[in-house]
Amino acid sequence: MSSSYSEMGRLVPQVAAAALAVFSVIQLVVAVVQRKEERPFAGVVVKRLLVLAAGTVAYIVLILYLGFLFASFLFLMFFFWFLSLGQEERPGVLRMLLLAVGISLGFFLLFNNVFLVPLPQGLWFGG
Amino acid sequence: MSEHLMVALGNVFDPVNFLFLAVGVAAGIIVGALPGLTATMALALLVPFTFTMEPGMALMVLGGVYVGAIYGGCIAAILINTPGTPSAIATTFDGYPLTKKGKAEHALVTAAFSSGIGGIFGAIVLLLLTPLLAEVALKFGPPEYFWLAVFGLTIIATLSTGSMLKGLMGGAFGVLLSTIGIAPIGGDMRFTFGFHQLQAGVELIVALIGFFCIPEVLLMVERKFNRYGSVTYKPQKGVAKSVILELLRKPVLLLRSSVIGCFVGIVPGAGGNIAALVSYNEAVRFAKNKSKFGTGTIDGVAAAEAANNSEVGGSLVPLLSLGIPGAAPAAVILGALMLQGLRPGPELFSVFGGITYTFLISLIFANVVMFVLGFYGSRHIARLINLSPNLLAPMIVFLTVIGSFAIRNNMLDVSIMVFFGLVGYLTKKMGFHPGPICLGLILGPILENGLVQSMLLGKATGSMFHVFFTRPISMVLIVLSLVSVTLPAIASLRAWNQERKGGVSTA
Repeated sequence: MSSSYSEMGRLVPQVAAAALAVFSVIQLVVAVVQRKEERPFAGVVVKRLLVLAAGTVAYIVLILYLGFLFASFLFLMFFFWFLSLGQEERPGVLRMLLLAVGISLGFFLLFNNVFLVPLPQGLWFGG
Repeated sequence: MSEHLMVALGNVFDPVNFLFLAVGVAAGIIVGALPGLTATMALALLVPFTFTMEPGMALMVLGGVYVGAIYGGCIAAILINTPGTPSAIATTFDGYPLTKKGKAEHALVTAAFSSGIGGIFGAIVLLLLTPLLAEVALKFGPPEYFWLAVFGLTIIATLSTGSMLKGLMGGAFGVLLSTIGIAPIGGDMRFTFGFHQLQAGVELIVALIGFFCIPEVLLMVERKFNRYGSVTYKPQKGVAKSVILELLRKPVLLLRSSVIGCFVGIVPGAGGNIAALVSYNEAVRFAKNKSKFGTGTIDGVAAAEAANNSEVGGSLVPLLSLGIPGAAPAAVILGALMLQGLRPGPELFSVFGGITYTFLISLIFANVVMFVLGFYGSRHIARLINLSPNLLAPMIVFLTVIGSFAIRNNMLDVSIMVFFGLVGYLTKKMGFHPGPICLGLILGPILENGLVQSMLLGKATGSMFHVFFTRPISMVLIVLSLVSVTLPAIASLRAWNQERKGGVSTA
């Protein structure tokens, strides 16, 4: 932490950081003493998880370039399709398409025209 | 107060407002009914839809969502043995056995009726108790606010699910996050990393959307599965009347459960799940025939549902009077209040009395609407439970993005939301729940203002000790904080010792 903050400005960040450090050390000691084997990620399908996490980050970047409406459509369509891969019951492509178009367009119109929140137009579309 | 009440009644009975209230309740029931979507999530996702509304109307809608979502959790709990919201866990104990016996209708009617009774009880307590507590808040100076924040942090840590130490760490981390932005005294620019958007700090709703929605979505998709379970249930005629008449003959059960729910709600950090579990245990303890519990008795459903809906009103008592949420969904209500420019405390009942009483009275009516919708609509809502998580997950991410953007028209907020969401998922897997982190974020500013102003006061008067440790309300809060930390610590040490003596079977 920068020491350039004033005395009162750094008080709480320092106290909170110190508390966090102390609790962490105690937690570490407790964990070592107890030696409980924990496997929090057991049974997780890593591919689904990572693709959704990365896809969400990509979605934000896409919004900046393609605008909210188009990026949302792509995001929804891709993940409706991707997450249903290999499932016993898959919704049909037409149903996914209608859902993706309906949701992205419906909310776009609601926020843009009713709530008057201007959603990003995207750099490629002059927004 | 009476003029505020008149304004409030006028607002609540305005047809447009009432329609929005009903829409809020319906939306809450639907989100609450879907397994994996919590009441906190329902509120966090729907706040962005309300902030262009008038403050009174916005709060009516959100109150409706809160009431509806807590009730909605019972539908999946009863029909497929999966609580729709965490607060419906205790509802599964007797609700699902009733369904297996072919008595789903009995359970659903019991849940709707006792939720309504509990909810109305909680809302009335909220209406009567909060103004009194807000009066007490007038006596609070900086040292009292400091100790109040400390008490809030210790109690959330101890009551939060899992390890107390992890709860405390979460709280400290939250306080640290709250110091992002301009320091309240001295004006230092802290941890903004050059982003001018961070000068005002992290927007509470953005953090709540991130911490409470994204981790749930990732938990939904981390495993490969289609659906939670299929619902097959046929309505039966004539059941409703006999069940309600039977419940009316059990006023003590309903009242006790409502009182427990409301009380647990008032305690910061203990949410609807704890309220319902405590109430269920008490119902078993007071029952003449204990063996019928767990095999499908409407008493068990009534105890759980009256308590978790009564908790809604209770959780708002410390929120509106002191600014400390009694449960996670109440934290979102706090965020919504602040977006509308309203600060918890005595001002809510004087300057903004019209808005506040509109909210409080609308909660009572939200419970009536909830009963009607639950009574006639639960069979239709039940069909939604079949909605695949694989379709639901992308939709929720979409809503979190649109919501976190719309609050300040700011893409950086969206990035922060996603960042908190990913952090929240990883920490949740390690046993750190989002509750303490968010409470730290909320209590941080109260703690900082209280501490820094008290220190300045101490410097001016020449005695820090006098400022911090001699005022009566402060002393009460200090004792409460010590008790809330030491009791669970002793209990866990004792449990650990027993575990060691009992061998390594559980290690």
